[in-house]
Amino acid sequence: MSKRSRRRNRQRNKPQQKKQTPSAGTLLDICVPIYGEFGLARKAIEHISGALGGLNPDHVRVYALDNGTPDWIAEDGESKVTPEEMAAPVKEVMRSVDKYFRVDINEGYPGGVNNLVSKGRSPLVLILTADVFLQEGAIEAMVRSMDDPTVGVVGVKLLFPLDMESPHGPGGTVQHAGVAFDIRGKPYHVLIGWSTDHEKVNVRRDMAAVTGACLMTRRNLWNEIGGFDRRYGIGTFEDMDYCFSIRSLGKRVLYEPNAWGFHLVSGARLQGANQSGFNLPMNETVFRGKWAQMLAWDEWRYL
Amino acid sequence: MIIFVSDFDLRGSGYMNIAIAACNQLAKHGHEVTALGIGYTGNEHNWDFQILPVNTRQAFVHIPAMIQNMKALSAGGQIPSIEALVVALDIPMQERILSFEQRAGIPYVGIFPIESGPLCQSWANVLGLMSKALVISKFGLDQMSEAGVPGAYIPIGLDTEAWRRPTKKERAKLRESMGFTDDQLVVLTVADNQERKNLSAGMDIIAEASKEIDVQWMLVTRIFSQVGWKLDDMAIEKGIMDRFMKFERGQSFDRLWTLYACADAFLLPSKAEGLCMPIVEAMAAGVPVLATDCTAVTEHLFENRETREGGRGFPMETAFVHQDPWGNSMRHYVDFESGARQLAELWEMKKDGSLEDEIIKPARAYAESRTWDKCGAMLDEAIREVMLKPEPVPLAPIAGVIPPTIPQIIPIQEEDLDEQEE
Repeated sequence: MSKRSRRRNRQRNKPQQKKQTPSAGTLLDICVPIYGEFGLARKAIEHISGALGGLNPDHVRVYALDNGTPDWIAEDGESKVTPEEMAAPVKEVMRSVDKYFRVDINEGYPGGVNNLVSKGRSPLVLILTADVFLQEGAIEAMVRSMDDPTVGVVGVKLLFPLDMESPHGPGGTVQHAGVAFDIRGKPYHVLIGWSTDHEKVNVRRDMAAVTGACLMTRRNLWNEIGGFDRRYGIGTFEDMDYCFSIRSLGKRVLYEPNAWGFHLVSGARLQGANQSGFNLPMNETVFRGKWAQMLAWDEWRYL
Repeated sequence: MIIFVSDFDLRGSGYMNIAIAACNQLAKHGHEVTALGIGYTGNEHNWDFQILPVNTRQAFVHIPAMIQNMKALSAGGQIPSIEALVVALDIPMQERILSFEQRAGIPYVGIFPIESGPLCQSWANVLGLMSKALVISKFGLDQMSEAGVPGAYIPIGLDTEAWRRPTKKERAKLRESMGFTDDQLVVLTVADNQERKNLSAGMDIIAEASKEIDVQWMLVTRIFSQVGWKLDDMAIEKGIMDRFMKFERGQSFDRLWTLYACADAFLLPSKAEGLCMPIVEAMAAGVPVLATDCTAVTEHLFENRETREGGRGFPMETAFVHQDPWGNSMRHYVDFESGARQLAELWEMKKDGSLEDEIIKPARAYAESRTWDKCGAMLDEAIREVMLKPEPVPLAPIAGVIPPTIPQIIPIQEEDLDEQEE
């Protein structure tokens, strides 16, 4: 290769590098995967500005990915609604610095999130599913928790929406306060259905795992682990797996009750998106096989 | 730390009420308590102790595993040392936990009922394995004594402030809202839909009494039970369908209290009872009790169960007795005609105004005497006593023994062959 062509290549590379770092100088990338639930995604993104609290919005980028939503039949039963049309309300609430992507073929939840996270460059990453509506200052509280370099993941307190009847408790009660493991080594949402102001719900503590519905992590750790394990197919257990990976690196998984929001559980399904086919038993088997040596009965710590 | 094992199914069970109060008492006495709650599913609570969920079907697999884990955690300093294991369950369940616990080497306090007598030798042996055996009725203590098993009577308490008597206005309003008139005799039964509670006899009593009195019967039970009565079918068969209201067990306390507050009588036709707290609850709520005069029921109905003095309820006679597979103990079948007669007498006493002083007030005083503080103090004392005892040496695990049902080569008995040849 001639000197000139090498120089030309270098020059070509420079602007390309800049292009690949659209969030250079930013602190946090918020990644919102979408599969059909565009209305919820809009609402989730609308809640972000309040959840930032005292954080400078210029230091935050929102990345949304339509993970292969197919055309839908409109309410008239005949005409089709394209994903582009459905995405319009989401794009409306995104700033010019934020990014919206689409893949035509669904990559599953783990694959979609991995794709989405790779779009940004900020040192902190918040994975936020479209059915989680974070409340005032929640993201700031999570970021503050990350000030401790030993923390690799921060999870939040999630509540059932006030107008939602849940088999675990009325609206406004706890949907997620961390994941505990029972004597069989089975993970479950500990304190589910408890009052949001209960003393046990509001202990800031290390946990074995937190839900991936709203999870903050560090990009360097994410990259080191390789993101969500795609062996979990279209999803379930990838968040447990990620938390265990974090702990296997000697980092902590923290539950931060000062960061909270509402979780419209299975919001995508409620909005009509076809997300059936989660292979829970198989994914649990994969998870147990991978982490058998780290599985421990820990519910006694929290109940 | 104390590990407390019992039924914590918050939908309602006799053990659940006892276990929660006992754990609260232990906490009050300064113990750190972790309950392994059979049937508990992680519901919110504000009690001063911890409950860990135990799947009912897997209870006797998970409980030993949990105890072993807790021992390991304790040895590692992650939780306080385990002072004692307190188990409040029926004797067959105690037997299963004891079979493991001997190897665990933790002092063991058992709280249990003896529903009927005599106490069979197998169960007496089980109770003998406990560091301290606490039976919840005086009747039960008698049975233990006759079987030569050491133990003590622990008086189970009741919150008589919660189980208060309704005011006249409240009662009138509640009865009106339930559609009951003053000339109706409203009878309440709170009993599981199972053989021992003898609900069919309860229906016979209502049917018989209804010949003379306008009786209405409220039954709180497990309406659908695989081993229980088909209640509607039976009510139709007995001709009392128009007098019969059934409620699913696990009613909220206020709802349950409302039913007591409406009632003129509490009816329990059981064949045997280890304690029966609903009787004491009825007494506290000012509802006169009719119950089969047998086993531990008698000590509720009389101040002196031996001389039968100081009556505070309506004992129903036993028609016949038979022996049951439950510990080979006896079952007492109530004489339904006796029940109907007692119901009629209660109604007469209500009308002539003698019921209040002769039955309701003494019964309420009896209920008030059963405080949880007494129970808690005794339990605390029992735990401190067993903590001072030397621990049994853990047994070595038995390994390598082929179960006898597995086919094995049997050596030829040459002598036998010789004999056959001859």
